[in-house]
Amino acid sequence: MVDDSVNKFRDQDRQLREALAAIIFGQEDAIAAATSTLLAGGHLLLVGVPGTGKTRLAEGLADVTGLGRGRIQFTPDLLPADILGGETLLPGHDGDRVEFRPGPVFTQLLVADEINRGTPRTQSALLEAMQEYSVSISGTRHRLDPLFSVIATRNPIEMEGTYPLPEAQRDRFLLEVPLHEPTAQVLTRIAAATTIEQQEVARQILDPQIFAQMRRTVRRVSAADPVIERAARWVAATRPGDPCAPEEVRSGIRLGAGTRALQALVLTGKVEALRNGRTHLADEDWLRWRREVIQHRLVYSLEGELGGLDTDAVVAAVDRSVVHNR
Amino acid sequence: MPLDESLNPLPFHQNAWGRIEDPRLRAGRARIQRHAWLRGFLTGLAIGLPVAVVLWNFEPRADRALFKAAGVLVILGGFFAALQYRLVRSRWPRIWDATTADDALVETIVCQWHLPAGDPWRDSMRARCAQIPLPPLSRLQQLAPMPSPWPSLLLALLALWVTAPSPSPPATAPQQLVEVAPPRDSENPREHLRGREDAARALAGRDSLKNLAEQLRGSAAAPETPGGLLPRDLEALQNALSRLDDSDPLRDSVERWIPSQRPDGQVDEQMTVLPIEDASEAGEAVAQQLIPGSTASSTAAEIADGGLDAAVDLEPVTEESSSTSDETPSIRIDGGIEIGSMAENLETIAPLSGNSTASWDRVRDDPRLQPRWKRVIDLYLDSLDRKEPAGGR
Repeated sequence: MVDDSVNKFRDQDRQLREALAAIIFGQEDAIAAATSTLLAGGHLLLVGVPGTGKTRLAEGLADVTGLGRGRIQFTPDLLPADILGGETLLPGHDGDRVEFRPGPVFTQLLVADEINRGTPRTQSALLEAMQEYSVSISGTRHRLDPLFSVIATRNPIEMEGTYPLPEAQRDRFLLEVPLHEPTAQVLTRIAAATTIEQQEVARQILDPQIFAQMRRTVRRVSAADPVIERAARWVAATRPGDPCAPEEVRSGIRLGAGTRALQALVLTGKVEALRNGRTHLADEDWLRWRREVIQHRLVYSLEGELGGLDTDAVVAAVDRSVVHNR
Repeated sequence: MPLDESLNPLPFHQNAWGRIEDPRLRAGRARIQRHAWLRGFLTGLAIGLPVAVVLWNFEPRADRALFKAAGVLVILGGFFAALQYRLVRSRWPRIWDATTADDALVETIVCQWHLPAGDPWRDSMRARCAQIPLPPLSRLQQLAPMPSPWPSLLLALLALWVTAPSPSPPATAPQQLVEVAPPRDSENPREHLRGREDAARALAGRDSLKNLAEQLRGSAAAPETPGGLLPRDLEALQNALSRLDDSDPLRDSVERWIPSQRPDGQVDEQMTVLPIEDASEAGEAVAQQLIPGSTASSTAAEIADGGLDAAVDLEPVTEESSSTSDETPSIRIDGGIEIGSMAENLETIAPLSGNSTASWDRVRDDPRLQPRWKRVIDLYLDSLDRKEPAGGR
């Protein structure tokens, strides 16, 4: 029975990724990270320069999973009510009444395109929804769908008219997945596939029930305390005040990863364990997406920024400090 | 710091394994612990072997050397074995996992062993116990190899070479032997240290032998042979000589101090035989030192008179506490002739006067005198009585 569940999960996951790979070329790692995030029940931040397929991947994820979709194009004049909804005065036969009209956040998969173009006030409107899976308006708490996830895209280059995401907002994204610029070979494929009359469209592989079942399967993967402890030590070592922190972290990092980072490591590790045919979490599983887990959570100090410290250097240093000595 | 921190398991799972009831898990754990114990023991032996060799060489007594060397090996072996055993006590599932292809499987099974049954995923995990291969010894050897014996053996040989006593020179032509004879005092002094120390101890308390004792201890150069020695000094010299090793080059130095004990039976040249007046018929002679200032002298007349009619102080001679046990306080008559030891509390006996027999009687009747000394005086008076018919008095 357990083996059947695992095999079924692996098949469905493989189909999911193949369906996405049919419309997104040359981004296999990003596709794997994105599906891991959704299967782990987290929110996804896609980062890349224009033309790398961020929005297409976000839309494609909604298509292949069969989840209900909402989309917000973030602009500087966007207001929180445009995301969350609000109470509206409606005329009636027996008098006017106030009725709550839900915003686009009340969906299963919310695509927040160019999220860094919204003002911090508007961006913050998503904080409660992303963490509590609920929205509080006029003293009333409205529950969101249990399968609610945010897939946000962000352009790292444009500075004009953009607002950087606050730390609390960034921390709520399970992974930040970079989409790299396509190679010439991939560009050729993209051009050939998108300049014809019959373009490939993402086909639906799952339905919400199957997707929910896959999420439950992920949560049943066993994780031994020592394995979680090693992951916790790794996360703690990204903090400058931790005794295990390497010198690069002590000098170049002002704020390291926190609790949500550890949860992200374990959950995405469980997805990886199932992909590898295991029913228990192993070290190689939680190590798989550690770079994507911490890169948007690190806050560099002035010394770190001037010294050119980046996520890869931090990951390598923490690995040397913790993983190789464990 | 990071290494130590990461090597020390956090407390919450250190003892979380609890009792393992599955026979396969227990078998695997036992195999890992055996390997760790053996590795620790061999490590201890490898470290202890050079130390044992050094101890062996520095201990002159073979039985003690054997005991010390074996003790060091056993203690170090046991210590490192216990250390390794303790290390793997909380890590054996991780070590087992490292020997198999499935990462963290044993850790997860063991960690969740005590959770209640009923969950199909957990039950499935437990059921996989029977399929886990036991940790192969070859893989354990790869992960935690036994220490190589060669560094230890090389170190032991080096220690043997450095600390071993140098061998005696090979017997070649006699002429060569004479030429290469090393200075006697520096020849293997370590072998004779104990004997010299004992000999020096035997000389303790003898002022006239103080220089010789210091020479034996190596803190002074060879002293000049003194002229006058008391019988007590001679006795101490004999005692010291008997404690020196036969091969000790300092034996000659000590023997030079004992003229009467020379093997050829000759008398030292510094000694002069003085005929005792009125006692020559008895064939007695007294050896008198001619060195000025010598207190160990007596005249023939005094002896022939049966002792000293002059005032004689019997003084206690205090000995150092470190002197040999057979040494006891002694009596000196007239500050010179020593006739033997005496009771410790004997201080001064009243001056003798009158004829010698009477004076000895007074000494003998002193209530503080021990019975043995009374017997000595009796014997002495008897010998005087035997001399009287020959006109000795």
